[in-house]
Amino acid sequence: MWLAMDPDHAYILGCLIAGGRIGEKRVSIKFPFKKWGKITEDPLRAANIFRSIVQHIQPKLKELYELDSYPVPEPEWQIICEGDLTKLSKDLVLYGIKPQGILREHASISNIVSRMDLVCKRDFIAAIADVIGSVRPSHRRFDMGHTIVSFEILGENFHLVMELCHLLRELGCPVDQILWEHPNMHCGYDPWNDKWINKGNKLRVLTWDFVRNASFAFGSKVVAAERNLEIEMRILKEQIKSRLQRREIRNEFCPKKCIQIKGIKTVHKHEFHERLMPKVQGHFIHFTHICAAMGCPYAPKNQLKRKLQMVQQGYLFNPFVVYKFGDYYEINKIVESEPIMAHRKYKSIKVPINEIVTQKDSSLIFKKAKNVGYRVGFIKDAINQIVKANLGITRRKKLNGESNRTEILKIILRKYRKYVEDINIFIPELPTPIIITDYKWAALIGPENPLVYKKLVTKVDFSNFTGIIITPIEEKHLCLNARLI
Amino acid sequence: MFKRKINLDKKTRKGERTYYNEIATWLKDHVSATLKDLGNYLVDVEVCYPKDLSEGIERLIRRNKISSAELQRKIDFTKELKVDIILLIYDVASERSEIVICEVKRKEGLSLKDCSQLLGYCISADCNLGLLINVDGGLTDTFRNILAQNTTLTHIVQMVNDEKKIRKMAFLTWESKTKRGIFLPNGFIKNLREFSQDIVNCLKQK
Repeated sequence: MWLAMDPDHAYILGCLIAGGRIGEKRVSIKFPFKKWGKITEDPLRAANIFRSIVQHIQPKLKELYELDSYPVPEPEWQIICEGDLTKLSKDLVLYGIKPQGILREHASISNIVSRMDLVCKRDFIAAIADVIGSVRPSHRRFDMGHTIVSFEILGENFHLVMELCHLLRELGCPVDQILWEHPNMHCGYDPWNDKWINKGNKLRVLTWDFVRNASFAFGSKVVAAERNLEIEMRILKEQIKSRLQRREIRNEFCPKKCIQIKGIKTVHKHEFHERLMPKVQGHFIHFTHICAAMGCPYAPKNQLKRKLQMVQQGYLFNPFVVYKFGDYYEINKIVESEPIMAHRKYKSIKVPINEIVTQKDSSLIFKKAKNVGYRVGFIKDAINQIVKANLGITRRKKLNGESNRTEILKIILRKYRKYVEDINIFIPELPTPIIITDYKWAALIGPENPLVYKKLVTKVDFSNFTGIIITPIEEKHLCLNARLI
Repeated sequence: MFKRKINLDKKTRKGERTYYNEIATWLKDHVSATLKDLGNYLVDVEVCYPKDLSEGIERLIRRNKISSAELQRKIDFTKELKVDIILLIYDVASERSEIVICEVKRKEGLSLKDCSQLLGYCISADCNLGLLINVDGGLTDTFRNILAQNTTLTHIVQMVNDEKKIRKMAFLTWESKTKRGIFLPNGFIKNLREFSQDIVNCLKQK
């Protein structure tokens, strides 16, 4: 028999989908607040989390499923229920959800949502946000300085992410970005980087939009979100004076959403990895490209078509590495393992620093033909990062309060010039990646070469938007082009 | 000293009023969402303050174009009853209606005094259900103990002209940060589901 769908039922289903793990005689809802909710980190927040769990979740589990439960704060927050799970299992089965394992890894919410009215939908999304909505102030949309609520959906359940996106859309809350668990989304520059695995899918919504249209039920999360908005307002004070202006730059719904592809993505080695379902295998240029491949009816297909035409012309991707930094031996090992780089003759030069500082980040250097060369911005990054590493400063940290690469380079030239003098640039005779190194640290930077790259594009799907297939680059392709040395 | 106390009281009263509208909207949304599976009910809410209960009922009747003799009768004897919010549930099929009186407080803990006030309103207005709401607070320890020992305190049976009348009460905490209500398990009615089910039962028994 169906349990009536009301706001309490919707809330508890949301908690279960987001964090529920079902065993034979035990159900737990895990809250991934490892650091954020730690008692020693912020006791007041931990107390609030405890109160919210006890007030919002515990009584509802008892009322709906006759389950006794208790919250556990360490090592991570969870509520554990033990007892007869028959009622809970039957309820989930009615919605087509297998009551087994980690629910978010396999559940679909389409049947649940179809039985909900707007009030229930709001409570359902509030529950999901309470469990997996991260409100760390470091989640930012950097181009606008906005803070983000990030729904962190671990596992490979791409469909759940899309269903959640559609639900948020229904509630009037446009999704800013979906960071799919795909190598092109997480490792856009480095084709050998395997950190995309187990990253999960991240559905990111502007805090402002979420608080206004849906919001949380946990007081601790509302407090954190409000604090983020205060920080945001402080940052944006100079740029945006009034709420009216703020509304003007608000996020748009798809398909009106403007696709901005700022950088070039590397053709990653894992684009056909076994973890990726067939629909999302191949090369993708933007997160909406994956949305389109997943069959989302709202994907901005017209804009995507224009961008895909650029791919056909050899732009927006690089069959080599775009940028990779590491210690000298790591980089050397990579060069030796890739025949196309290992078989090159390299010419060593000192850093033409005056030329680099004065040039724009987007311009090309060491070029032979038009549009063939290496981006100055990446070379600046490499020099900065090598010097920073020698000074013991991590990549993301500012140098003397500066984060702009050219300004950092100017500071380095003023204060740490001797480090730059130790750096050499190895330029190959064919347009393959250059190596910048001081023999302690090194960086690889791939060339831009659209005339050659366009010949590698073997399949671009303009109707179903499946992944682009790009042939791996070989020496024969490069011989078509002019030599650099 | 005396003057200062009055000022503080005024400040507290002013504080609770600012929450009337958001509480009313939440109640209407959540009660109608819970009732939708139980039948065809019309749910509406009215903030009575600063007028009295009779005017609140009149406004509800006018707005929803209801012709209910029972509600018309209530208008006459609920003048001067200064309640905060009222919730109307109207059974479209049987044309029966139920009024729930909601009393909003903003204090550290609700006490027997607040419960008595609500019970007084319910008896005077002949309403079966009352909801005592505290903004950002629960019950005092003393009151919680009283309720634990005397479970019938929020389930009062009254005999009026040989007719049995049952007055039930529920407690709700209004979280001003999250703009959500949480039913407290201390009253006879423990959650939103029971609250809505009781409304339906009251309507059926009429």
